[in-house]
Amino acid sequence: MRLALLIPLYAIVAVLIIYTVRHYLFTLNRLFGRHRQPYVDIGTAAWPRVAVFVPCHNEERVIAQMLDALLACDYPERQLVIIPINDRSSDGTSRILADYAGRFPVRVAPFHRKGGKPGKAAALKDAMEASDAAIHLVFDADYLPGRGLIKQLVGPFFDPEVGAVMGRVVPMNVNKTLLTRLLDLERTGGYQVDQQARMNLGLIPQYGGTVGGVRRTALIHMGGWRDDTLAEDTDITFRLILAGWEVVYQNRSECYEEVPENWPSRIRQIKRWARGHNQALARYWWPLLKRPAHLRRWAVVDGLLLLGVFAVGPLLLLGWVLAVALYYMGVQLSVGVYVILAVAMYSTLGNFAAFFEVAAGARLDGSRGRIRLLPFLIVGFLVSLVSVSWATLVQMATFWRKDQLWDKTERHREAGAMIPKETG
Amino acid sequence: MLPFLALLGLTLLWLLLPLLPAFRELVRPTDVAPLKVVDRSSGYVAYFARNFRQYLDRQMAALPGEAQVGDYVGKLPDGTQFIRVRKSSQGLTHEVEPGTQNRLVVVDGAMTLQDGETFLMEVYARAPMIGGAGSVYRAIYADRELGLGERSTVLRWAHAGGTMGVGSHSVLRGRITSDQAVVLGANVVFERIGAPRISVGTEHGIPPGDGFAAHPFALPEHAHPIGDHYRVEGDLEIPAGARVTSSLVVAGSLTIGPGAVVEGSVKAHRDVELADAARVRGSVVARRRVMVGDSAWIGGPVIAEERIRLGQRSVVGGPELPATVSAPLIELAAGATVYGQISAPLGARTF
Amino acid sequence: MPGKRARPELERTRKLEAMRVRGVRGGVITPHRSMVGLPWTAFRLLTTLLLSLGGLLLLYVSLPGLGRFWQEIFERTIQFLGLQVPLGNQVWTVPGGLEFTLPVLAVVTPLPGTREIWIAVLVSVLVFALSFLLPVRFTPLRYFLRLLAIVEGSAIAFFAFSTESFPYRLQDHVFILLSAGLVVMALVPLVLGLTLHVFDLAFWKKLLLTLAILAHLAVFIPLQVLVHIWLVLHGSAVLMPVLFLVFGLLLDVLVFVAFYGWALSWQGELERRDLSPPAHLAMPARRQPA
Repeated sequence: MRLALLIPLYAIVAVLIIYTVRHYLFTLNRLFGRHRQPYVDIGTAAWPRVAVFVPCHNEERVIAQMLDALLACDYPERQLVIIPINDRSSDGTSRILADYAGRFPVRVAPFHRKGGKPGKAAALKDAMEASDAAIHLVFDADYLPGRGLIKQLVGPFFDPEVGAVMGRVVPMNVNKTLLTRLLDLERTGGYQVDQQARMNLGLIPQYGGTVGGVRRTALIHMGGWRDDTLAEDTDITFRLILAGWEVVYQNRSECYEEVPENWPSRIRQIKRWARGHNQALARYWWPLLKRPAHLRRWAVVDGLLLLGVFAVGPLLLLGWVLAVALYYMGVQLSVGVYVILAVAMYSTLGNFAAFFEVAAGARLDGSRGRIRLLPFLIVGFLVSLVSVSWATLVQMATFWRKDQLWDKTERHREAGAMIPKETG
Repeated sequence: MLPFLALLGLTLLWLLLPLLPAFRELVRPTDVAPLKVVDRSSGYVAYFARNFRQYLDRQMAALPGEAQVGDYVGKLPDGTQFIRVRKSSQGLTHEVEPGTQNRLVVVDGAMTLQDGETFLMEVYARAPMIGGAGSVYRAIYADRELGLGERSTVLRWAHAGGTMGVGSHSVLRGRITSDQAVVLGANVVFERIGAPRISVGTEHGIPPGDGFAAHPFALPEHAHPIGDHYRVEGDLEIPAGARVTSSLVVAGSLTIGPGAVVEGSVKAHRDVELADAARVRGSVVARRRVMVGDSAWIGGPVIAEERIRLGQRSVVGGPELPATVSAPLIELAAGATVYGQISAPLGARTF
Repeated sequence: MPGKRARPELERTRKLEAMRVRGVRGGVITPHRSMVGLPWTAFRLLTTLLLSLGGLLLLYVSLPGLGRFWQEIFERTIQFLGLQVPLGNQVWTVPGGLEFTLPVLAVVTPLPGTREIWIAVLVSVLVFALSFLLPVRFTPLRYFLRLLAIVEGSAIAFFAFSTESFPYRLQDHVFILLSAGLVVMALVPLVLGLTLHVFDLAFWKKLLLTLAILAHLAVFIPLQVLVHIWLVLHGSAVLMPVLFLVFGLLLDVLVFVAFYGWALSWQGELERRDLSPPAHLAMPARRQPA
């Protein structure tokens, strides 16, 4: 009986150690390694035609500012079309989009969905045919791209192997609550260190579904967006990689986003991410493990670890349950086991970045003060851990269900609210 | 009970001690502003030059009438010391030490500056200007043509509304831009240049015409299609005079033989070498090096993660086809021409 | 005299080089945060090794003194608390032959009776119920309270069905926490070496931090264990699981993370140098740098 519990516990601890080592190596690489951002200096080019898709479902609070930001960008006007996807909005979104389409008839071309599957993935799938532009960029409605961002995101596509590009997401509403401050730390660890290290090492940066884009021919090559997934970003990342395309992360290409300001919003968001990510895990772990010829071994290893990032939470919880059970059985576990389980609680669940990775990212950002909040990571982690574990359990228990329940992230910004002053 | 409560209190206090900075940051935040996201594209080379010009226009417009014409030594409205010369650079008096100018300099008339001057503040030239040999400039904004003498040094940026000529053995740090053309002498070291045409030496290359003979090239059997390109494992050599009509991604190194043509873009996970007169209509990307032979032509951006070498009279882009050449290190031979931008954070050199 | 003053040419070169990277007011124009890394120096590697191994060695040689210190704290505190708990010590030997002692209790572990179990049930239910009464903005606290209630619930379930087979005596609880605490202390210099000393903090700051964490834990661990002892003696062994699992090692790690976060918020040496414009850079103060 003891062995039946000890073996899985040590397996779980081994998984945690692997992730800890992975994130430690990423941190070292980001701090001291050779930095790769080969496309960031492409400032002059014959810019290809770009379509910017903005999925909108009841986004009246934020969509106007988003469109203003896109219209102000320095990408050649004739080469850019903005396609807000009006996904059955019942608030003032339709009216706002009609207004912009009227004022900018060539540059803003709304796509209206009256029915069909709910969710961002389905919306993108339906709207894909609305443009034959070479590059399809995607922004969530609450984002605020800077003037130079579109050019920066398009630059990597001059590389014929690049199928998708991802920029860095920067929380704008950091100062609202403890949650927003913790999420800011999470994003810092995830983008400034994790994603960039994977780019440096030639591993698999993830396309994150916003502040990024996909090459149209790559999309067509793979049959377009899938609407049977809650994480179309993870899904397309792995389809691209397996098919021989490359995903590029560009740390310099930053864009403001709004993070959840209250716990219920955060819980809904993380549950959706977990379910979507677990779907991708189920679909792509085997094709990845079979290792297509073009993928390096380490890219496969990292890909598997990336796929498993939301499964680690439930594993950690299971590890604690096993540790508790073994405690009652009188099994004296090594102190190291408890230390690993305890240290893992001071991570960020979105990417399982360890506390030192978060601290390194904040330091590179020049944001030293917020590192003092590190002990509070356990606060956010506990909530995320329980939410993700519950979502995973429910998902496993209802795996036969094809329909997906899409939980839209709540918007908090007031329409017309001031955005952080951008320096040039 | 009381003794226990005292113990508990002491233990809690001791536990909370290292947490004080965290609680303080939580309750009275010192670092809670969102990161400042920079608005402009990092590829906008003339950014600082344009900013300076706008700043100077505002300052000069606010000067009193007598300060707007003729030779003048004084202060701009924001307190910056400046000196304006109209007829001759002899008017440039030096306060700090001979040969060193610590005021912002406005050159109002066509002028040749003296050799060996050091300008610690910006120089603004309203008319064509030729800088002296061995001079050092913090930054220069020229509304029209600008000539930098041999062994000149620019520390931050330089911009010319007309053609900019750079003398041999000059060092150009920062951003160099022109609205027309930049012509570089031999052994010039620079970091970033942006102009409709950038050439080494007075003769510049032009993109080839469409009429050139090339026979179709069959890719190896193991090449497989991925969307709009073909992927080839290992190395690939395209023989002389061959034509490939698709884009290519090569897992090893790619060699494009003399006179061969690729109608799409190419990428190699190691090196890309274009032999003499080879042509690529799209972009060229390499994880390591791109070596471009004499008179070769590339229609799109050239990106390498280690080094790029452009051979004699090689051309990147065209008058209607701007492009960027970007690598940590870049070498340009005489006659090499780029229509657009060159970016080399670790340094580019002409030879 | 040669070497007494920099040659004028060298001085000029330094001025010009400084101007290349400094703005008009003398502040360094730093590369964008997406491009920066941290320069690595041999000195930092050396100090990292020195601090890590040195910290470990310091702890090693301090073990006898630490053992006596903990014994002293135990004796005085038990007396202060008025507990009738015979206290001894046990000698342990670590690799290298060094001997030290740890406090050992000689006391009967109070197993929970029906009264203690019902009190535990009541408190657990109250805590669990309280978690639903708290506003949503206290969600983490709600989850933590439920966690406490669930862990305590597991203990209640165990003791309700199988009191005699509980495998731990209070002595075991004390020993496990003290020895685990020592292991955590031994890990401190190593983990700091891997994750903090690689940064560009001043050597004396890194040294002080290492000593501060070790000193803090040297005081905290025995206090923590003494609190546990009093609670178990008054509340019975039904409290031991939650005390060990939730209020044991997790708190030691919390202490480390708190110190770590505080330390990494300190200014680094590279930043400190960059912020001070050199005296030789005499520039007129004016507008934003270009």
